[in-house]
Amino acid sequence: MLSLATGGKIGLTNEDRISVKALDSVSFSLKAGDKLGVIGHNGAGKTTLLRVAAGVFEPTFGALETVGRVGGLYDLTLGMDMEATGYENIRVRGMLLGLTRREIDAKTDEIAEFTELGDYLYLPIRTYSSGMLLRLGFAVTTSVDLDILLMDEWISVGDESFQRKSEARMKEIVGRSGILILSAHTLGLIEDVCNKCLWLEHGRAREFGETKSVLDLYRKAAAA
Amino acid sequence: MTAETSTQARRLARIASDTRSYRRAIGDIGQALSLWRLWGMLGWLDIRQRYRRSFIGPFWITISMGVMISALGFVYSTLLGTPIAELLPYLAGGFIAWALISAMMIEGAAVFTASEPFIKHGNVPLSLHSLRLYWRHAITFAHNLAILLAVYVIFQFLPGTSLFVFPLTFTIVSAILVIWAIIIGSLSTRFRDLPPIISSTVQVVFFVTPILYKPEMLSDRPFVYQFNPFYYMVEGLRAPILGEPVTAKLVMTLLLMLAVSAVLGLIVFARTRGRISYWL
Repeated sequence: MLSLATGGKIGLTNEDRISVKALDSVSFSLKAGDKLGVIGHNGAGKTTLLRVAAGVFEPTFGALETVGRVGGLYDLTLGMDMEATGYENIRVRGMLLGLTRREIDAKTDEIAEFTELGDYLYLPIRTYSSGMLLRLGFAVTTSVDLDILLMDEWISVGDESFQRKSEARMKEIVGRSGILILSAHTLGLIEDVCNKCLWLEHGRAREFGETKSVLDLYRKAAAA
Repeated sequence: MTAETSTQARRLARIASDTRSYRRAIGDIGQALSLWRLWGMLGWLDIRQRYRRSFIGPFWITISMGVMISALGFVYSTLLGTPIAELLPYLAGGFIAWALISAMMIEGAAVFTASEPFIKHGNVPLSLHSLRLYWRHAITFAHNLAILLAVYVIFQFLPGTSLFVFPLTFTIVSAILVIWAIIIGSLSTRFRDLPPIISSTVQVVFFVTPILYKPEMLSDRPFVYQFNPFYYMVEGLRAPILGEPVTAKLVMTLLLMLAVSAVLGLIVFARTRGRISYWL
């Protein structure tokens, strides 16, 4: 076993293959209303933890139990087809995020209005600027009612006026969603948003508890 | 959100290292099948994206295949001493069937690696990607049937009653192909040397399967096609659209292949499904 400044545990399996233990004995439970901030150095296992929560990586030991719709607020434009129109992409993205056709139809007008893209929504999205594309992705992704929200860094989209609007929308859905798991390096943000905090180190939970107490310990360790 | 969906969505979901992997593999496939609108749309968009702003679109494949069939029919009818009116429809049926089968094998190998961003994002069952691949090639297959219409017109024949069996054989062959795409895709994600092996094997299989020639021409070595599962899949698609009799033996063989593939597929998928995202 080798312990480095970054990354999880590197070891060998029985068949002499190199294996990385990205997360080890990380146990916690959250209830509705909990906002969890995940902190730690690069490679500590923050993104891996989010992917376990999203159901991408199945635990090799232990279990993950979730109640309700789990969804990630990342890869905002995943699955979008550059040759399809804005409206078609609302449909594609919506379905990919698990919405039914009826749910998408009901939300389309609201999504379209939020993007402020107007008639551009009738054009193939390859004609969009990257900012416009993100607006569309953001509007569709945040229109899904999620019970457990996963976020890898806080997202900020668009120009100044849209940023204000998207910030308000973010606050709204974070307030609405039962549980938030937010991985971030900005401690101030976690202080603002989260009531619980998990400090990961080499894939292990070094501290878990109230945001303030965990952050105090983290800051003390960083200063030392 | 309606009350019904919200209660459905708020069920407890448990992913544990000790969960029975067979149940989860079946659940994955069941969930993927129920999301037919999603893979149908993604498969359709794949086609549309490839040919957007092209005037003829997917018919380019059809045209190139039609040209190849005509040229081969012209040459091979002389080589094999078979009248062109007999050989050309046979070649058309065989090539259209083979295009679907070979694409599912070759592209099936890359199906999960090509879908990595989707898989890493989560919340979509894995086998959905194989169904998306299938749908894309089923659409191409449907376009290629235009060649067959041309054949009917030029050689002035009607396929007859065996055409009614086509939906049955097509469904069985499709199911076999999807299962094989899942098997090959799962193993290829772990063993990256597999895709090139698959594509060269498929090429060899093309020549040993009666597509360019008729099985009767192999009468002194019938084992070449008798023990070749690809022959039965080609024949299952080709015979009904050419109006040749679809024997009970053929249908039974295909059903047997489906059963064996399903068992094998389940064993492989149950063992690999939970690992695929790690291997990407």
